[in-house]
Amino acid sequence: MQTGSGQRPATSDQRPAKVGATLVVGGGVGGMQAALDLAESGIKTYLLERQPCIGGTMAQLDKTFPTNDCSMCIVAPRLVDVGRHLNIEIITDAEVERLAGEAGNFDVTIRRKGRYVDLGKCTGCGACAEVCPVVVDAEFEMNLAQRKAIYRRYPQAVPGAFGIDKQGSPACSLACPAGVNACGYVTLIAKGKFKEALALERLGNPLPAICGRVCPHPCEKDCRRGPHDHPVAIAHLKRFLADWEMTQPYEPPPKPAVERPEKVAVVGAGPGGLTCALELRRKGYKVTIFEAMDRPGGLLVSAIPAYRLPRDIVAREIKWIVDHGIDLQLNSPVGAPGRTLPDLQKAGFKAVFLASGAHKGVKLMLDGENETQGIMDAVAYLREYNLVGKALKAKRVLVVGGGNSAIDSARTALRLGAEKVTIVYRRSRNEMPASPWEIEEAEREGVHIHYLAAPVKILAKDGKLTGLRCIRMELGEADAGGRRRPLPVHGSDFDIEADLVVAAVSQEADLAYLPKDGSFKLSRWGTLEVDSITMQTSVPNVFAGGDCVSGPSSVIEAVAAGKEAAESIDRFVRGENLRKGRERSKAQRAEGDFAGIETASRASMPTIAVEERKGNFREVETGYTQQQAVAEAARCVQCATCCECLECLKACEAKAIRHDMPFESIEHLNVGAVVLAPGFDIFDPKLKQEFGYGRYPNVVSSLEFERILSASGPYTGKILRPGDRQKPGKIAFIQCVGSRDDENNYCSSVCCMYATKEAIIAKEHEHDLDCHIFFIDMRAFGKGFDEYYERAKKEGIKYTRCRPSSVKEIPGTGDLVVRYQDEAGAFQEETFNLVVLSCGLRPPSDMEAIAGKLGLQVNAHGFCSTETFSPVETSRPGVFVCGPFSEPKDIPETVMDASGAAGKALALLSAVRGTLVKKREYPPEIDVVGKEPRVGVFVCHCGKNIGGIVPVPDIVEYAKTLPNVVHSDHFLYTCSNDSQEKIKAAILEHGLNRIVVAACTPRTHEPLFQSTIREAGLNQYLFDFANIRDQCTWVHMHVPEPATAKAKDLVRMAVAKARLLEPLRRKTLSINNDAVVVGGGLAGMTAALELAEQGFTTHLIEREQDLGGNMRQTRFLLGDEDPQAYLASAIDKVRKHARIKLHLGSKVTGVEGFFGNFVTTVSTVGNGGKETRIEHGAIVVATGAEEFKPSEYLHGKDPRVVTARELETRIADGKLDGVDRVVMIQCVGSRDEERPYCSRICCRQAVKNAIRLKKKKPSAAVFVLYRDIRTYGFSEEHYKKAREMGVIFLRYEADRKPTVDASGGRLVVTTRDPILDADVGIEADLVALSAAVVPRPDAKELAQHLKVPLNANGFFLEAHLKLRPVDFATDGIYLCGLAHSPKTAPESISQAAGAAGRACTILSRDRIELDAALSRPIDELCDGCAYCIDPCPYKAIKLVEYKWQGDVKKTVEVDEAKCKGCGVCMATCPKKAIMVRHYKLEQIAAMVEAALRPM
Amino acid sequence: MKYAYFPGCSLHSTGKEYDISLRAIAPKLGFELEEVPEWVCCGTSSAHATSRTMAAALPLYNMAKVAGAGADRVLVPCAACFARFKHALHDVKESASFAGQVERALGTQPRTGVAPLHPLQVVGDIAAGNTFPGMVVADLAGLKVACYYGCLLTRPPEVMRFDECEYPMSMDRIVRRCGAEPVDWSFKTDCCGASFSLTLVDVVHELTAKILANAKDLGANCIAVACSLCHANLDARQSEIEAKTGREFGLPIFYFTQIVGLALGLSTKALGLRKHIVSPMPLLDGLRGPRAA
Repeated sequence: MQTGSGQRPATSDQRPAKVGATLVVGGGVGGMQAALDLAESGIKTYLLERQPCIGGTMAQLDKTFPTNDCSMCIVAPRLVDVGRHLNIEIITDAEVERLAGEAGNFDVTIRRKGRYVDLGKCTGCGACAEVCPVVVDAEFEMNLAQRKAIYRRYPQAVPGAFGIDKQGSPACSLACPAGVNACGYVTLIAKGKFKEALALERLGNPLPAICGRVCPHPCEKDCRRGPHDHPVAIAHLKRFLADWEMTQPYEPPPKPAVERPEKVAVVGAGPGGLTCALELRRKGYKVTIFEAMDRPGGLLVSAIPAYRLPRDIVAREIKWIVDHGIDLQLNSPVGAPGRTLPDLQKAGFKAVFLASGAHKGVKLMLDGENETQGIMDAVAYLREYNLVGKALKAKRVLVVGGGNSAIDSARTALRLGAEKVTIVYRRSRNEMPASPWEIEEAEREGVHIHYLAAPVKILAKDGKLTGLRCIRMELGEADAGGRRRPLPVHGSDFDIEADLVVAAVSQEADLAYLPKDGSFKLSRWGTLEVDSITMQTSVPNVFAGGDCVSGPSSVIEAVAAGKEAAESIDRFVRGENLRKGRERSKAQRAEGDFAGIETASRASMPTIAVEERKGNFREVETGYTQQQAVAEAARCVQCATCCECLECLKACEAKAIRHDMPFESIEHLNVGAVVLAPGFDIFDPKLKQEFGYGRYPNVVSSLEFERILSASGPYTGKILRPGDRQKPGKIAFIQCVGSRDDENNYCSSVCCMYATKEAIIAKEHEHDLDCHIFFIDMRAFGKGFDEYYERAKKEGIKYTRCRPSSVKEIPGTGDLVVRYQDEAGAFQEETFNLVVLSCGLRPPSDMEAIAGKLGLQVNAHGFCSTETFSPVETSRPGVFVCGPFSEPKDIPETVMDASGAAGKALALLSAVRGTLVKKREYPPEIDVVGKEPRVGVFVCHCGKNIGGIVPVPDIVEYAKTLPNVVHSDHFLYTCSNDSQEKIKAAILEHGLNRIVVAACTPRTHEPLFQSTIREAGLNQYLFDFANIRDQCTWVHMHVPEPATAKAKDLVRMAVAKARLLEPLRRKTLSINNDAVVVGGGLAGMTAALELAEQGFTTHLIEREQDLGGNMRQTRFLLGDEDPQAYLASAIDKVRKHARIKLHLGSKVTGVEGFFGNFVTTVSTVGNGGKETRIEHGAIVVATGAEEFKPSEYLHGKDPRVVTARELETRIADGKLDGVDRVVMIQCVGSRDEERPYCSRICCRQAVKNAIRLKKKKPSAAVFVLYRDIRTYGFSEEHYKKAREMGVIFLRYEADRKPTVDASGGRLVVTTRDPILDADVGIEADLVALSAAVVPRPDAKELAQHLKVPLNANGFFLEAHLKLRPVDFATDGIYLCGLAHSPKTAPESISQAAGAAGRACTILSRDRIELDAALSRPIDELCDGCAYCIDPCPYKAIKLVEYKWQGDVKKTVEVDEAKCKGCGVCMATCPKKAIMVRHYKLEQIAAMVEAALRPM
Repeated sequence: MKYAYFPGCSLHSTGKEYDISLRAIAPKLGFELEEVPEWVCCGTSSAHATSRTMAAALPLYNMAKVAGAGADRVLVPCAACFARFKHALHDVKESASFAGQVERALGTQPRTGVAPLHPLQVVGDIAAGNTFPGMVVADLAGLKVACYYGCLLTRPPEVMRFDECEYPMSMDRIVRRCGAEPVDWSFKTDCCGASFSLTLVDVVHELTAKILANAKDLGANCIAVACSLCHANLDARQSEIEAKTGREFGLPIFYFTQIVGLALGLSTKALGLRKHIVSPMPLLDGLRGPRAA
């Protein structure tokens, strides 16, 4: 991996140099914002994401509150921005493993999972997923829909490349000696893809028909399904494939891709020899097999009886192999004169593979064995019948041994007419090496097995056998092989009569054909010695494998040996290292997930009846039917998810699939700072068993419901319940699931609003839907939230203040009974069709591991620890945090944090800003002005996305007929790197000066092509895009003909416009690097300090003579921190900072210019209004807010009625004499008609004051009269603590507010308690009113100077409530603190740091390039009517007058730095006097004309 | 393994079958029971309702007897007794001043070193073990059991620290290991009306009817309990409820120890199965009988 600065340069003072790069961990909204801010400010940024794509949870949401914007619509452009950014490198599928080093210079170790798709090549066309046979639950859809093993989380994902989900290697393929990918072909069988399955199987093993019948299938023993019920019948399925092929016409195999001149000899046409020969032939070698027998197959045909392995099957399988072009020479024993190994060498064979098998039977080693007639070994016995066709008649046959050849001999003897067949085996059945199913069948056929017996003497008469004397055995200690050793039992001899004894004890290799000169080393068992990995013998060009090396073993072992030998021989011939990379690495075995998998027994193999087997060699097992095979294959549990069937590889035309990628890899990055944005986990609702989640299908989590609501979700936006896909009529939402309880003593901050939003949206889908939200307190504390809550109530959403105690399913209906207490205290049981659990936010499940790896501290709730006054800093210097990783929070707070964290990192790395970032360099532009347009049209197939629906070559031919088109071509993927090169070459070759690409969508790809043509010397505006995928073939995929016509229309329109395209010059502006911060409170000071630390001279303007703002009145906090000490130190820092210029007692009286080049006029307040003009590049608004002065509740009339702030002062100053009873009244001036918003901080303040009061005066009676207690996040624990300390919280309803009466001398507060439904009178010594936070009256004036908006409540209005919370729509102006909306001190600090971070994206540059597609007035046509000025959303147009021909000429001017090219002005102008370049009227008219007049 | 055994009043009277069956399975499962000498009332009914001190002192008096007998673990099958024991320990551990009050009542320091165990824990551990399947000799396939834990066994969770409070599974697991089929249902921990059995019968009828109906609706053919009061309400009141609601349930109510005993091959008589009011015999006769060896 390119780490930017790979080596760590050290400075002379031994401190490691700082690195101008940052790692951002987590690609959700927080991580993306931080990455963009950093990269825009000159810091190389790595964005690490554990998923295969960025986007986080926001991409899963349906809509966002309180604006009901489509979540995907607002997050997708940001995904594209991040994905396209030159200096953001996205690292997906990865996690941080270790963080070494220190702030400024970290060495990060990351662990990356294999994606198995080349990100550079994948075009995201999705052809792979279409053919993938593995279907699993889609995590993105919360398992309510399914995806394939190769997948993209969602269509808009960035990177858009697919990835393969591999959970390791399937156990079956790991267990197979030849590494055959059983899982792959089993999966394909389940999908009915028999041909593909067979081809896949043959890649690993060329003998499916044979192995499907006789393989001992070790794969099945390891099958992960085994422990669950029964292993998948892999061998039977393999056989099914071969049987199926027999029903198909014979297809000759493909020719090798290359032919090689070298010759290789193979000795023996058994399974090992055949496999090796085939593998070598596939590589192009000329291969000759020398076979001693008159037919190929080796022991397959000489030993294995036909009832197990029919001969026509073997013949056809071998024919297919030989048909590859292998020279098979029968009756050609090697070693015979003229065919010795030296002869072969002389004949030009570069290498030899010996696979001569083990054809020599081992004798019983009993006296008289050789002399007695009627004794033979099993090899000879079986060969006699199988090859010669001679049936040895015997009435009583005795077989000695326990392997498969013993069973084969016995069952053969039965078929040949023996009356009694007995097997004598010296151990018990458990130890018997023969396959258990073979033993069973033998017994069924009537073979009698004598266990624990061994022959000791041959009984004969006249040299003719009469039987064997045997002795009984017992089992002793286990031997080295683990089998218990048989020991004879003395005196237990017994005789068995027989007229034929078959010794099936063992087999040996017959190596007599080898030279006797000692050049070949043999083992002590008389087998060939070879290197265990390379199969090379002691003679370098001779390799060996199979039974002649291993002794008698299985077919699959021989196949494995043949494959390995072929690999070695290929390397040997080509002179390569034989061993490199071949040590079997420990592959990761997949374990599989069995949750929800139903027990299903394995399909049994049909056999012919025992009676039908008599006297013939008909195959016993008849094979699965197609139906059985498909059903059996479907039992595979896909333990590794991807089954490696390689269908994707075949489908991928971009050649992007890389199954050989490592399972995981370790990489290193060198960065100066780290920003953590790993987000949160949703609380697992299964842990709240009373609600039945996981047991009742119609109880869903909130995130599941988001997907259900989403138009792109599992039910395409129809509200259905998962249990039966029926429309629910009544939905219950249960709040605080996993929040505000004993284990999770915090509030998750977002659930009240998201539930409200989900209910509103659900009702928008289905108007008659009943939505009922069960909640504790409605925590609508954010900007615009309370208004949203009020709207929800108006729309008929029912709110009940209760946490239900249980949800029970009504049997049979899937409906759910929610038990709760109503407001009057009565228990209710209400039936709903669907229950949504509003799940809280939890730290990531592996939080402990993350914290350990990164060296972070974790707080009591398990989230990342931060301090009150440094909310984006972790316990480790240089590591910053944003979003819900440190405390549950909503999107805007996360984005603020992110910019703040980026700002902190920027301050740390300000000295090395710009050192590691890349810039694009382009050649000089070709002048095209005045030249005849020469249009080039490039049409994209987009794999099959376009090419599969419309005939792309036709479009190309059509394009060539259009005026001025001089060249047209098509590409499989126009976006691929080689296509860019071809486009550039075509521009030069054909002298093209206008380019049209007809492809996917300009949304993601226009900048790529613009860059390409710029590289070829064309101005980037000489490009136009015809969107023939997203807007044509995708939406009309079922009607190819009209789609083709439309594609032509689109191309014709694009060409029509292209002919009129003009080169446009992008203006560059120089940037003034100074900043102005308006407001010297906590937010303003923080922003100023951050900016100054980042290296920018900052002017801090404060209307008062002192710094500190509202913070001066904050005397204590919920925690133990001292706010005044912090404030004093901050003021001190501000005053002393060399880069901060203070303007105290001053205010802004004028702002001119635009971002990068503002001129702000500052005037002193009073004092004659001395004016200063400041030139600067960015401005931060931090003018704060103030406490509302109430007039109700006797405030101002009775000194015993104070505001919360006054109470705080009294508590802090200890002025509590005679104050024994305090009543606090919440929401004074908030949440009413005049100010419908929540002031957010008053609940915390009341709790804070109450606790402090109780601490100072435990006997004091403290009452808090509230509407909802909104102690969100971790302040919830303080609310609980206050209750535990005895503070009494009494709720009141908005329409029955408390009253304060002093008429009797004493203060009496009367409030209506809704539970008692009665008035409660409380005598009080002091009444504290929690007064609203209200905007500063002078905010309006500043807003006018800045030309930025205020919201209805008088707070400044940001560019976007969710994703742009510190920006204004106007560039270069940023917002933080109470001026934005009420918020806590840490929130102000975070937002202020964020504003500074955002400002840095402009201030850190020297010049900035503007877009050129902007509005431009045409002076001669403009008569200065000024219609265009007001509609301009960016306030970019102004009216100017000048003298012309003695008259005053009025005209408009466009400030290009402010204009966004939206075209509103163009639409309003009655004179065609203002045009957006690149979208000029004649250009659009040409397109319209082209659309209307098809050629 | 030997446990001190606190049967409480109910296992000596109305819940005799619970006592019989527990004593019957104990030797089969490899543990012994030794009844606490001179045990007294656990404090459940009157003491619990009248004096907090007495309600803690009584169980602690019994635990002192356990300790005196040299044991540190006492098996408490009755859910109410078990809850009392747990509460007493919890309360004196939580508050030193309360512990002082109890000490004055007892005349000696409370012995908090004794661990009360419920048979579900002890039997559950054995049933989860590798040797248990070998002990199962009867085939209980076809026995569809709604495992009913009642309201006391798991609640309040911070005191009882027993299984998952809202949806316990310990009895279900035992039943499954015995070869019967536990049913997933919704009323595992709902109240049966408990000691209102004699004073407010209507309440018991209403609450118990819901339990019986849900078990029946979800296909159970019997209910297993671990509390004699639950047993009394579900078994003895069943016919009244049937008469009142007009719905026939016919659900035999087993102590879970009886189901374990059946699996272990014990006779219906040895398990006290003939003492139930809703006879389990027709159901049991319908089962396939002893498992083929």
